[in-house]
Amino acid sequence: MSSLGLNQEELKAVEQTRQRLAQLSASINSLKNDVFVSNPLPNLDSLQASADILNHNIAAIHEIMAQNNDLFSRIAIHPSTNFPGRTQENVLLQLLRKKPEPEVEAAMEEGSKALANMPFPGQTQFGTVNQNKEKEDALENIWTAAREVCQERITEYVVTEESDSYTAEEREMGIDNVRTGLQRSLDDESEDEEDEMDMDEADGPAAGGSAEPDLMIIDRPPPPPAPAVSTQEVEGATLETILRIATRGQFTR
Amino acid sequence: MHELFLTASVKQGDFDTACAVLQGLSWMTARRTIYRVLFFAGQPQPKGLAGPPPPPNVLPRAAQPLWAELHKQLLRSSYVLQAAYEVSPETDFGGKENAATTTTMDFTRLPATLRWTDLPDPLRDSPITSRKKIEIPFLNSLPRVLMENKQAYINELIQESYSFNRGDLEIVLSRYYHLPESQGRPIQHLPAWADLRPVDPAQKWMLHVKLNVAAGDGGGQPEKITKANEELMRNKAEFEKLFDFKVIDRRFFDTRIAPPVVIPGRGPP
Repeated sequence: MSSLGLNQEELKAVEQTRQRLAQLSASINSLKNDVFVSNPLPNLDSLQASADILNHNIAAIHEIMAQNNDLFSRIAIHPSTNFPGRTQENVLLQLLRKKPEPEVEAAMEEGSKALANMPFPGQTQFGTVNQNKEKEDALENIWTAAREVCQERITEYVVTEESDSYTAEEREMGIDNVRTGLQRSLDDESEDEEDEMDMDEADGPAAGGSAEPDLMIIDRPPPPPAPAVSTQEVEGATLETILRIATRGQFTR
Repeated sequence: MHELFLTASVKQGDFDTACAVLQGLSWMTARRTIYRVLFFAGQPQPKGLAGPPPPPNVLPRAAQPLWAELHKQLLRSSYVLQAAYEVSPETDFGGKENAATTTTMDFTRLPATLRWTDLPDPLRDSPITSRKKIEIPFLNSLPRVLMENKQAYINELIQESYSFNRGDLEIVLSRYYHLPESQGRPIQHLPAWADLRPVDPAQKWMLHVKLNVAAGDGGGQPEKITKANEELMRNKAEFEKLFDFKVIDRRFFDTRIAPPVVIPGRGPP
């Protein structure tokens, strides 16, 4: 071992790296097997778990490499002098190869390409940012236009349509056929009072025990109001006034 | 007897709805009653009921203690008293032109109720009006008995009521009508029902949600009144979603006759 020129510590680092690489290799193999063997593919949870393990393995290797960066850049590998170089040349070449094999290299390139296209937040790649900006602008234009249209329509509703008691559909059908549930016309406010008066008059005789309580009697004049209180026609006397009269028979005294 | 009630006004236009709702709440149709109410006032100087109690053929023996109680109240102060006659729009109203078909009310023969109510208790932040009352059923001759006891006739009104009962709760919608002027005496012939002039031109209805507390045998009445108050407040919570109860100053229910002005220096007689 002394021929390697490594102390105990350094050897341990190399050994750890080897173990971690072996673990990573095993994990990859296990995932590969799972994907090949399972039909249908392993479920998402299992794939996610595998990805987590791989991620963990890679992180561990990364850590060791970072810690021993100095060492690893310093040591060089060479075959032992007694290695049967001529007979085992293939193995030797594979072991000492520094560049990745062509298919691995292709895979690596594909990987870095995929990584570059991934829209990581905060990643400053001008092409993608411009693209995103364009998309955002387009969306914003659409929403602004929608907002303007809505506002315009609402203004129109408030100004011209809000006071309309009927819907457009009802207008088309003809408002005379609309069932409002009211006796009076919705449009004509002035009819209001007359109608109420009619009801009052109809109520009097009906309450008075008319033989046909449903009959509307509309040609009887309303009871003559007291001359002094004729201005109170709408609101009538206050509750207190009525109570006082009911209590004492008259308001004064 | 003590009565506690809440007061709200109901517009003429809302009357049918109110009746329908109250009918649902009380599980009964409204009972319509019409009273002809004669108002009498005592002398400014309170002297109680001067004469002896009316004979049993006028005032039933069972009601005699009420007469004594009223006498006690009238010793403290003179009051406005009411004599209420139940009338029917079909037979009692019609005016002179229909005198042949309608009956003239004979007060010496008809039964009536003598009503007295005290000035309500102070409100103390409560919307409930609470007051003493005495109602004495007379078999006949009530106006004559009152006049013999120095109670002077002042006016008369027609009271139209629709009432509902729910348990002990009495819910009454009522409104009043004026009768034509007559010189110091009840009119001879009631006018046609439709010609009555409402006290309120807007023909509002007055709603009273009422509980009566009977006079207890001795003590216990303050507790009963407190309980009735609580019960009425519980009902108010339910009814106030429908009606807007008003706090009424007790002065509007004041039935007292102002005592004579005391001339300074002479002192009260």
